[in-house]
Amino acid sequence: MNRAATTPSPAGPPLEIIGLTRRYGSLIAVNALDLTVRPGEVLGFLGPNGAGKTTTLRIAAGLLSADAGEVRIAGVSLARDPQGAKSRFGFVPDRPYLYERLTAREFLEFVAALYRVPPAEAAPRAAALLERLDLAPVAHDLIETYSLGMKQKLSLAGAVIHDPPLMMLDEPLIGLDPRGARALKDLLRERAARGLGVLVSTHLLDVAERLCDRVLILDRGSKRAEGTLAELRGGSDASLEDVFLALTAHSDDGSAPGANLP
Amino acid sequence: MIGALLLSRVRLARRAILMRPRGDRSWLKHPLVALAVGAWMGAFVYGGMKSVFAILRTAGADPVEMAGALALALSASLIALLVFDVDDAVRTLVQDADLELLRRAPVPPALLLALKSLDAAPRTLTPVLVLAAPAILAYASEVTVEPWLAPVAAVSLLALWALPLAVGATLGLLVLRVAPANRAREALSLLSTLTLTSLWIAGAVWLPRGLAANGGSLGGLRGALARGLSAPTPSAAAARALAAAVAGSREDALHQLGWLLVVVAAAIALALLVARWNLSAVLERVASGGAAASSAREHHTTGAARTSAPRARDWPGGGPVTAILRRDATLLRRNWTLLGDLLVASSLWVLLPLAGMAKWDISWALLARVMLLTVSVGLGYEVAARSIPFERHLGYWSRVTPVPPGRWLTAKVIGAGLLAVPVVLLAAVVLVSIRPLAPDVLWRSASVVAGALTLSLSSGVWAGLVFGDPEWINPRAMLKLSGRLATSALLLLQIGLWLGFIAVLESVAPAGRFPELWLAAPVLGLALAVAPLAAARARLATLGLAY
Repeated sequence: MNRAATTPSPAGPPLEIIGLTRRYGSLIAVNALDLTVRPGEVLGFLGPNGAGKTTTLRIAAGLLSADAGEVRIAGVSLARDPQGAKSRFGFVPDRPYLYERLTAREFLEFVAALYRVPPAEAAPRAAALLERLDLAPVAHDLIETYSLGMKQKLSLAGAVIHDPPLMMLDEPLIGLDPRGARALKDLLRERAARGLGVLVSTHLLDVAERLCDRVLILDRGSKRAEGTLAELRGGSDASLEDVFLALTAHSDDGSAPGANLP
Repeated sequence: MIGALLLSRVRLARRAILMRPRGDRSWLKHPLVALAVGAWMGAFVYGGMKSVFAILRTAGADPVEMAGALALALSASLIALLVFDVDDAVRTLVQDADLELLRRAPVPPALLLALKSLDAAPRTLTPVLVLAAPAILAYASEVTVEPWLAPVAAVSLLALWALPLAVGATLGLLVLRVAPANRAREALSLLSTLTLTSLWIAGAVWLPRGLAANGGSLGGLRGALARGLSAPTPSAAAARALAAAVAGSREDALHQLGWLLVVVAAAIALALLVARWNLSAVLERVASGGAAASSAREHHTTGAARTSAPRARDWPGGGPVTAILRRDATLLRRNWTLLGDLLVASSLWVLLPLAGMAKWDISWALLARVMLLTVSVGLGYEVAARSIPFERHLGYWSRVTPVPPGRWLTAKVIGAGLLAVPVVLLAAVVLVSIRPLAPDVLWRSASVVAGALTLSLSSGVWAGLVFGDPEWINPRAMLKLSGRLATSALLLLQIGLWLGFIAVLESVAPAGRFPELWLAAPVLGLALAVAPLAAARARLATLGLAY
C-alpha cells in the first residue's frame, strides 16, 4: 500500500487542534489550545519565547504526547491512527536532523522510502526541489560539508518530498540567506495556492505580515488572538508588531493582555 | 607575565586533578577515579612483566639479557604513548578553549608549547605510569638494585614521556593541516584506545602466559633479546642505561642517557619549529568551520556525476525497512573507523577465551566452541547495541515518520544480523582452518551460536535504546558509562547461561547421541529474545527527541 504516494484527499482541514493541553510539572506549557489551518492558507504561529509554540508543533508532529486534547491531520486523528496522520504532514524542526555522512540525494531517497513514495514520483520531485533550493550542484556531496542554511534547505526538501496536505515549520528562516528565505516563502505560498495548508512558527513579524493569510498569537500557552491582519488591527493602522507587543505585554499593573491595543 | 601564566596553569592543573567536573554529580567522573583505575591497570602490567623477568631469570638470563625484554616492553609502550599523544594533541588543538586566547596574547610559541605540555601532563603521564613505569619497576624487582638505578630510571621515564609528547604535538599539527578535524579526532581516538588496550592485554596477560607455555626455555629468545637491546631506538637506549646502572657502569649509563636526551631535545626543537610555522594556520582552519567545510567539500563528494538530476530508474525502490538497511550500510561504509573497530573488537572477542583458559587443560573442540560463543555474545554489544546510537537521530525519525516502531526494530535487528553473522562465520572458518572440527562438533557449535546470537542481538538492541549516547565521539563509547557497565554484566550473564546450557546438553546428549536435542539452543535463544525485543519496541515507541 502506497499510503503517502500521492497527496491523500483530505477529509477535513489540513490541521485541527482541539483543546490541546500539555504540562511540564506544574508549568502549563499549552493550555486548552484550539487551532485550525484551513485548506489553502498559511497560518502564522506567533508568540514570545516560551509561549508554547514549539511544544504545540512537536505535539502536532507526534514528537511529544499531549496531556489532553486532540490533533487531526487532514481529518485523521494522530492518537487513533498515528501512521495515517503522520503520512499527511511534513515537519521542519527548529534544527535540522540530518545524516552528516549521507549526500543530499541519498537523504531524500531515504526519506521518500520512509513515506513510501514510488520512485516514479520521488525522483522528479527530488530533482525539482534540489534545483529550486540551489542544492542541485551539491546533491552528491556529503551533508557534513554543508553550511547551516544548506542543511536547513535540505530539511525543508525532506519535509515536502511526499507532497503532504499539511506542512508545519518551526522557525524555518534561521540560517537562511535572503535567496534561501525567498525560495522558502515562494514554496509555502505555492503550496497554499494549491489548496494545501501551512503552519509556520516565526519570530520575524515582518515575514509573518507578508507571508501569512492569518496569524495566531500564543502567550503563556494560551491563545491571545487569531485572525487576518485586518481583523487583528481592528480598523486601526497599527502594525503587526504593535498588535503583537500589545497582546503579549505581561502587565504587572493588573491590566489584561491586549488592554493596550491601539 | 610568565610567573602569572605558570601560576594559572598550576591552579588549573590542581583543580583538574582534585575536583570533579562542574555540574556533574557522578563520582565516576572524578579525576582521582581515573588515576585509581590507571594504578590498577599499572599493577596488572607490573605483575605480568614481573612474571616475564622471573621466568627469564630462572631460565638463566643475566640482567643485560633481561634488559633486552625491557627494551621490547618500552618500545611497545613508546608506540602506544605516541599514538595517545597524537590523539591528545589533536584533541587539544580542536577543543581547547584557551588555546586561541593564548595564541593572541604576546606568548612566544616555545612558552605556549611548554604551557600546553604542562596542561596535558596529568593525561599524558597516565599511560607512562600504566605501561612504562610498571615495566621498569618489574625489571628493578628482579635484579640487584644499585644506587644509580633510581635516578637513571627517573630520567628515562621523563624522556619516555617528553619524547612522544613532542613528536605527538608535531604529528598532531601536521595531521590537522591536511585532515578534517572531526574525522581526525574520531580516527585517532579509536586508534589510541585500541593500541593502549591491546598493549595492556599483551603486557598483562599474553606475554607472561606465552612465555610460561614456552616452558621458560631461553634458546630461541636470546637472539631476539640481544637484538631488542642493541636497536638504535630511544626505548632501547633507556633499557641500556638501566642495564648499565645495574651493572654499576656509571659512564655507560650516562652515555646512553645523554643519547636519549639529545633525541628528546631534537624532538622538542622540531615540535617548536612545526608549531611556529603551522599553529596559526591550524587554529584558523579548525575555527573557520564554514571555510574548512567548503574547501573539504571537494574531497568529500561521492564520485557520482555532480550535475545529473535524479532519474526514476536510478531511484532505489523498496519500503522503509529496505531504506533503513540501505542507509545504515552507506553510513557504515563511510565510517571506516567504526568498521575497523568492529573487526578488531570481534577478533579480540574470539581470542578472549585464550587469555582466560590458557592454563586449563581443555580440548580444541571445546575451546573453539567457547571462542565462537564469546564472539556471538560480544557481537550483541559490538553490533546490535551500537547500531542504535550509531544513527544519532533515531528519536526524531522514528517519531515523525509513518513507520511503525515494529518496522524500525525489524530493520535494526536484521541489520545487526547481516553484520554479525558473517563475522561469526569468518571466525568459524578461521578456527576450522587452524585445526579441523568434527561434523558433530560443528553442529553443536552452530546450534549454540544460533541461540546465543539471537539473544545477544535482541538484548543488544534493547541496551542501545536504553543506554545509547547519540552525541558519541569515540566509537568505543557509544553507550553511556552506566550502559557500558550494564552491558558488560549482561554479556557475562549470557556467557554463563550458555556455558551452563552447554554443560547440561553435553550430559544428556554427548557426542554422537541425540544430535537433534541441540536444536533446543536456538529455541531457547528465540524464547529468551522475546522479552528484550518487546521492551525495545515499547521503548522505541516513546523515544525522546533528545535521543
